[in-house]
Amino acid sequence: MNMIPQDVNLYCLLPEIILLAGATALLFIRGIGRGKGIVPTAALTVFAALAAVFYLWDQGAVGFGGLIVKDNSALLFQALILTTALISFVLARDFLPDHKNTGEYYSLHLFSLIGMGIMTSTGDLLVIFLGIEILSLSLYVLVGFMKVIREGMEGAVKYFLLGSFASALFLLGLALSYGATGTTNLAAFAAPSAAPALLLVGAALMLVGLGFKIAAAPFHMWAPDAYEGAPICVAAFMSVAPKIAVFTVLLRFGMGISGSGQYLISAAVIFMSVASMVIGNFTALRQSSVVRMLAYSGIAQAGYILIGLLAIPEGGAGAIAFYLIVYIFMNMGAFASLAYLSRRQGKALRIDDLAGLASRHPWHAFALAVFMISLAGIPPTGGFFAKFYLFKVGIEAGYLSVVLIAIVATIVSFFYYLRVVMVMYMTAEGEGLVPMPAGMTLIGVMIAAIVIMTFIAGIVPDQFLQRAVSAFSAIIPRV
Amino acid sequence: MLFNADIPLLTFIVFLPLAGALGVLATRSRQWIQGVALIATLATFVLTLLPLMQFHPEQAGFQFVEKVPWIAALGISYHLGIDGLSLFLLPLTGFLSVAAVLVSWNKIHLKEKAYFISFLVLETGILGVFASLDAVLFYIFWEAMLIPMFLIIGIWGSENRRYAALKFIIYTMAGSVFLLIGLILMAFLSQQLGGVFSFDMVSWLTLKVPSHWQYGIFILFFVAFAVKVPLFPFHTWLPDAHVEAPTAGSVILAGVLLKMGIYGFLRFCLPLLPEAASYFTPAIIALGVIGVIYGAFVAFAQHDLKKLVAYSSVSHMGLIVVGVMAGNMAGMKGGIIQMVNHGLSTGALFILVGALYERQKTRDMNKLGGLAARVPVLATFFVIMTLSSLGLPGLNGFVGEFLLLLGAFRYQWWIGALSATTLILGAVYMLWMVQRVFFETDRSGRPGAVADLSMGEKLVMIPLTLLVFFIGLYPSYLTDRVETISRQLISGPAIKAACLSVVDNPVQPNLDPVKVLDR
Repeated sequence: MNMIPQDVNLYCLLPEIILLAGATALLFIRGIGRGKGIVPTAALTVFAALAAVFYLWDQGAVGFGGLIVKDNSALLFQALILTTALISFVLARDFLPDHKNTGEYYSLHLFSLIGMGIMTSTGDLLVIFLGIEILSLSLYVLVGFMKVIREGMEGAVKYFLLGSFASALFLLGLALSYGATGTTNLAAFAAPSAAPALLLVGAALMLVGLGFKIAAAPFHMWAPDAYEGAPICVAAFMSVAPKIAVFTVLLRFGMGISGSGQYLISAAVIFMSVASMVIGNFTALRQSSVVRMLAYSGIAQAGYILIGLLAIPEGGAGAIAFYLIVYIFMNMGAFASLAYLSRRQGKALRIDDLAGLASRHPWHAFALAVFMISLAGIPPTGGFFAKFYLFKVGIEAGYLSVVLIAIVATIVSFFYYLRVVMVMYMTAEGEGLVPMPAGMTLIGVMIAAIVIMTFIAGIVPDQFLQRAVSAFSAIIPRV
Repeated sequence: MLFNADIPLLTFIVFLPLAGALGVLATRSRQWIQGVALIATLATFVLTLLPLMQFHPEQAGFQFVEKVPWIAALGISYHLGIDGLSLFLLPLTGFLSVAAVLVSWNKIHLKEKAYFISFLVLETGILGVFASLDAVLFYIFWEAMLIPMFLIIGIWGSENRRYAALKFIIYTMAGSVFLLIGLILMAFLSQQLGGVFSFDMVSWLTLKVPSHWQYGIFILFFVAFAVKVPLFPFHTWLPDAHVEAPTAGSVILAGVLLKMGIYGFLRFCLPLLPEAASYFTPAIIALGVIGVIYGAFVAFAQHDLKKLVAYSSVSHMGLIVVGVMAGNMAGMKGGIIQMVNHGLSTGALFILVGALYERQKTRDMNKLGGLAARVPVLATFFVIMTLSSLGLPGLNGFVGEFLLLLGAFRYQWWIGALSATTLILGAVYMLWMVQRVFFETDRSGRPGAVADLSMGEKLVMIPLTLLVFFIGLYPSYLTDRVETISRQLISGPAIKAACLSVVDNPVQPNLDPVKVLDR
């Protein structure tokens, strides 16, 4: 009767346990009303989880017979995901109508955080799959949370069907690789395999499954519809947090694979990266809805980040981590601005609706302009150094041609990011905007803070970089 | 002396306008906004004069150097310094920024706060470009400066401003991202050859970049700088941007922004990549000569005053490119001096064209005429600046053009002869413009009185005119100070090219640790 391994060490799941407690508690205090107890409870839970993350920092806690490894890279990514959730809670508090602002919503949110926490901190494929499923099931519901909206249901169903399909592919890949190696541990990829072809097919299928989750082309079809259909607070969250979690998994993946399969896998990654950059950027040009434009921009951004994956021994992991840090600020910031605006305008915004925003609400327009400029990668914002670092490691690893494609893609992206700036600043006030009350709001303060962070990441990136690089120096195996 | 070596003078110069922008942000009334902007630009201008006084012309290398590690992980430092190349560009920027604020005085009625903030941020960006000695710092200023210029054209420009603003920013940014790749490659080469991954432009000067890398990097750099100059055929954004930009925007654009292209050639292409530079010299000179002639002919065909001056810029900048690429002292010195001269005279012409437009509400030469009698002061300044622009002896343009043409003749006599057509063609279109606008009969159909230059405009034009005469009559003040840097710049390519050809493989690079090879 030795069902439970000796070294359970629940202690290493401390953040997840806190989140689980909070999520359960939230289900019981449903129905109390907007902002009374629910949001603070949810936020406190996340803060407590963050505290647990900092407590575990540098301890390298291992539990469940090595299935859960809370090393610094896992903790760093988990901290990023928790930060994303905090921002998204502020958005949800502001954006969701009263009858939807319930414990259910925040509880589901916390469950998705548990899933991502597990994904970031394991090297075992089966556990990764568990994490992906916990994450996905929560997100499927969140996307369709405003069930009265038709587009919402359409997006949710599409997301659910394609997402389940992706999960199934991942599971199939897992099974094949288990057949090839006899273990579900990622470390087995490094060892010479008895059945290399089988292992390769398995790895490719898992890559497809993960590609779906980060909306990398050619597996991006669901993203624009799901983003558009979901409440903006959910779209903001799912445009950033799952990307962070999946890139953690991909990093662990990428560090392990060796042998002849390595080239095929990296060719596949190059293909996904280039396809995402090209399709994302060119399709974003033609969008009129702001959210859809951001969705395609997110696809393109995933393409940039994939370059870092090609350069793993050369510091690609640090570059990816830094990019994701900055990406939280700029992308969540852009979505936060939009959430603020569409809540007050009472509709989904088209780009033309922003006309003349700079005259009426100069600060708001400035914030949105900063996020666009940062997403375009123009200094002195964080987006510049994020891209700079990715391109640097890409060139260092010998992928100059991929970086040159990325450069051309970046030039294309200037058109649509700067178009938003042009519409806000250079067009006379249109009919699009109804007057909005000015004044301090929680979400306004948060947007201001994100703007400041975007600039800090662009002016003194050293702190972020050091943190990102040092978290990885310990775990990256020197090839 | 007011400033000694311990005080970071260049930092003050570069960031004072930014501080001024924050000051403008804090003000409310229009008078205060303009006042703070004027004080900030004036103070910056005074500070930019200090390096002129304390500069040691005979000393090679950089002066007023400041260096602090910034992003150690990537070998990036906060590194400022100036030499003879940037010495005069700082006060030029300072001066034209004051002019830009003065000509906008009480004339901006839309978002004036944002307008002056944009100009001050722009000034910080430009000064930063000229003062940076770290490639990434340079690049950050280079790019960050584009956003305020984009806003200036796009918000306060005339009817077709959005198109012009987008064209401007896409052209220049598309060029600059290639520059970024070139800079990153240079940093890797610095790691291979010098052992340190670094973006320090001063240490780059000691590198002997292997031949097979020089050509690729040169092209990456060239695109960025050629768009900025603008060299034919990369010039198409310029007329649009000039025509649509507000007066002050045109002044800065023509006066300073275009110089950044030449500055980039002289700072990066020539000293770092000498072999490629000498390989591409004939092609670049050819483009320069085409620009000279083509710009002049197109200017000749214009009815719009602003477009005419814009195309004359294409012509003049082409001549500067011919001179600096010619590889002799005369051409190099002429080029560096002509950057200042062109900034002064073209900036002044844009101010006057703007003033004219304000009074007559048209820039079409077919609808102007006979203005000399009605606005004598404006006409006088206009004629002086026209003469300066076409190179009348005794005015500043002559010094630069003479040296440039001398350089071109020394390179190849027929190149010189072709370039010298600028004198004739320039005289033709410029004098014809003066004749049609200020003499002949009035075609405007509005016979009423026209106000002459206002106090503020006179305050700008008088010092400009004095400077035009000063440089024209006492050119050795400039030539002495650019002697050392010109010698370095022309000997750089020659000496380094010689080294590379004598020693087959000067440094055996260790290619293993860094695979900078394209797969």
